[in-house]
Amino acid sequence: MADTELREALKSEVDSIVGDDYKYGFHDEDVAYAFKSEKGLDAKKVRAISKMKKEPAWMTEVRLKAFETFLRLPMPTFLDPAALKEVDFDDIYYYMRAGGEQQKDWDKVPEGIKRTFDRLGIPEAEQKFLSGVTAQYDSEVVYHSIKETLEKQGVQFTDMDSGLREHEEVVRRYFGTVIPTGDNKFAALNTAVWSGGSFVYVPKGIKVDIPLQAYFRINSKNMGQFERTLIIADEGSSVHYIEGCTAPTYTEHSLHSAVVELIAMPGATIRYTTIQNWSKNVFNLVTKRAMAYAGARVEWIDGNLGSKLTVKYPAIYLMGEGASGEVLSVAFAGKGQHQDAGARIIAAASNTSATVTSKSISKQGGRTSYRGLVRVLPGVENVKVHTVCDALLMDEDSRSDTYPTMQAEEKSISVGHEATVSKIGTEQLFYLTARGISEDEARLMIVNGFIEPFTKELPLEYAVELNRLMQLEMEGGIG
Amino acid sequence: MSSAVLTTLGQSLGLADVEAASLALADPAWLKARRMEGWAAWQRLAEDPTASGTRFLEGLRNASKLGVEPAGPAPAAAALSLDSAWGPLCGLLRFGQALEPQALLSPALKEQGVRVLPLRQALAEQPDLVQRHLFSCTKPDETSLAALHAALLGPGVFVHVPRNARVAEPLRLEGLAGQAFFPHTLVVLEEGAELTVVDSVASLDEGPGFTSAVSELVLGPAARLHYIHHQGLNAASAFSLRQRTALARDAYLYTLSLVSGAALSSSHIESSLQQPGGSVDLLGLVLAKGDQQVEFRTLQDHSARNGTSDALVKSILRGKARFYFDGVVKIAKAGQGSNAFQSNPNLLLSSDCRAESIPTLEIEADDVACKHAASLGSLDEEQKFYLLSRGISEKDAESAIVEGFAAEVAQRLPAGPLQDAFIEILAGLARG
Repeated sequence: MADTELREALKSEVDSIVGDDYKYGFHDEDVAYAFKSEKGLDAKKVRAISKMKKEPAWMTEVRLKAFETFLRLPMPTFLDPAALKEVDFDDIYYYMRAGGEQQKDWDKVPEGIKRTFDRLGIPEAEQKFLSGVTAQYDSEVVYHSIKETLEKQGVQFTDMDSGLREHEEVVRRYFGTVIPTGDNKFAALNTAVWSGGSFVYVPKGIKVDIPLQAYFRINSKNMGQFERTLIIADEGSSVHYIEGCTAPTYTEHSLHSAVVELIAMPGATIRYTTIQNWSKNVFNLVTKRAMAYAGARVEWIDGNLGSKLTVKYPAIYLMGEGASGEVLSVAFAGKGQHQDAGARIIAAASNTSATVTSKSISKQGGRTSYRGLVRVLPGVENVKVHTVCDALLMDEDSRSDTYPTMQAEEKSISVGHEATVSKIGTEQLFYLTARGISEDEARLMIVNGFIEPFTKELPLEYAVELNRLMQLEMEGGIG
Repeated sequence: MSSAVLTTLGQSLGLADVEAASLALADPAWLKARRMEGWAAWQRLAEDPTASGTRFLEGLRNASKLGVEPAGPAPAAAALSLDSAWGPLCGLLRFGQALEPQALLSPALKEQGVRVLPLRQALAEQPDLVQRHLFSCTKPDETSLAALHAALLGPGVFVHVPRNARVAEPLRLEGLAGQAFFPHTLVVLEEGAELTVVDSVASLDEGPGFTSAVSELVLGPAARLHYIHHQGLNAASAFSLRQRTALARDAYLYTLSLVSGAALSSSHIESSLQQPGGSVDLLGLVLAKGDQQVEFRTLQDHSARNGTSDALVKSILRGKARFYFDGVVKIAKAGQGSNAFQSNPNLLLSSDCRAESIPTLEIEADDVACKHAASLGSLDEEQKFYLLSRGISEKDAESAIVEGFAAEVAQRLPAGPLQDAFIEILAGLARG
């Protein structure tokens, strides 16, 4: 195949713009990066990324405008400014691509990458019930398969770059409509340099019974990963999208700043499940937002275990009558970690409802925060939103904060919030240890019970994986 | 825009007013120094758009030219009586910026050694005691409003209850606000002392006015204080209260802030559990209608072991009222064994009112039980249906539900004449 030639051609073309920084030998020695831009970012590099991906002119424009917006917008102020200081935008690679081109056949996936995925258990998952695998290795999709049934149904499930090539009109129509470029500094950055992510389109009335899955992974130090996901469920359709993340540990900080846009047309249902376990030096600053039109339902199932700092508030805009939403999240903060999670519910239409359940665990000086927003717009009636936050503190060095904000301008509504912060009950521990269970095991059982409302919403192997991760976290075996 | 208000305030309130206020209280040197500190801080902070309290000052635009009137004879007002709407009292003290203070105290107070003195008299008779406690909980330069308050500190009340003295009947403090009013309530309970205080502020007339009040409550070991504050100013007023309590070991505070008046009202109710075993019931009830804007901030600060605090702040909103609640529970590392609760239910009775609630928890200790809850909603249709089905008219059913909602804040008062009287007063206010 002319892959190599094509790459070389592209490389020399882009080299002339961004300079030669074509590197081999990363953490996984066998992986060769076909292309890697220099650290730092300027308009030239944004243009180069777009050119290399052979994008239409409008996307190049969108990227360039977003880059200007990124420069203009300030860093978010509500967070501890010291924490974000460590994010050095000039010390990050904004684009790189692994050696292999798109693969549909597992056998052709490069050996080094395969080994990593083997460790993540992707092949078994595939054998069991995967409907499609989009395994993102750094910035682009290297492995991709879609079951024939889905193709027959007209369901589109590709990486975002292919989505743009193959469904340009759809992408052009919806890209950035849920999360505008200027929403926040990190959304603007993502729009300027996005690469990879998933594109899903489910046609009218189609119910996808098997979850669509994608794995993401950061594998190069100081590698920014800016995936862009767009999921559109057309009228009356339904889809469950699952994304799991793991990453090995590095000594330098890495930035992950994704943008995820969900559009649930009237009567559609989207469930988006994430289990995120970035390595503990990753800054994970993600903007996730969904539009739920009349009678539609959106569910965010969101688990945050890794990273140094996660800032993530999945949002649901209830845009049409009868829309409903749910955010169910778990956050675990160990030593040196801060999980700043939350949920945002904006009721812009009458007769809508949403529930938010947030569980957090802090250990060894870890810090968890719930930062929420529930807003009922003027003229919107009969809205019910209920938020429950439970925090578990494992030791005296840990910290938990809750900052919910509720705004309402109407009377025929019911907006509620409750939160608890506690430690593991000595009575619970006593009960279990009195039955011959070791204290460590008892603690793990209590923690697993605490997050059970979350775990039970996961597909079986994810639930098993999460329990295993919790066990490792509890033993202090990770990080 | 904000500078217009600040200029108005700045022009009408000058150094001459500070001097006049100082003269009116016959300041000792240390108090004069505090005052000047406050004046300097006010001049600095009022110009600083980021300083806390500046937003409130912006809202003062409606208040017309303000000035400090000279003290004069009291206008014809109801004679003092120990038999009040709040039930039988142990004492009553009425005061205002332009009023000579009037006091009526039961002989029992004197027998127990309880002192209830206008600030000027207290400064003269108990200089050491006042110096030790005045500005011990709050500082003159905390916010622009605190600074202004310190600079113009006017008539105040000093209450001192000696060790183990227990006063059953409530003490009533009645502040009457004119154009500009800077009252200061200082309550000191020594070890094991008990007292109930009903502190209120009302307008002298229907004219515009600005009140910036500070209450400092100092509770010794195992002291018990019930402190009710009622802001019932006229609709042309602006009001600000900073109330802070320092609790020693095993002390107990019940505080209820009732806000029913003023166009613009801001309350900061803070309690600091500085020694182990303290306990606080922090209650608030806000009744707002028309164009009233109310801000209510609470702080439950646990810096010692085994403290308990329970906050319940309710609002009943009508018309185009705006309500903003910001409550913080803070448990420091040293606050192991603390229990803290916080709840903010809001009743929205019109389509044009607006409520915003930000209950916040900041927990750094693990051996704690901490919960909070907040809700925004309208009348419970099921409750209403239940009453309607028993032949009660819709109007009566609604007011019964609203009254019941309001009365909850009185439930933690000890049963007795004060609680009964208070529930009556709440019901009257809640009916709107």
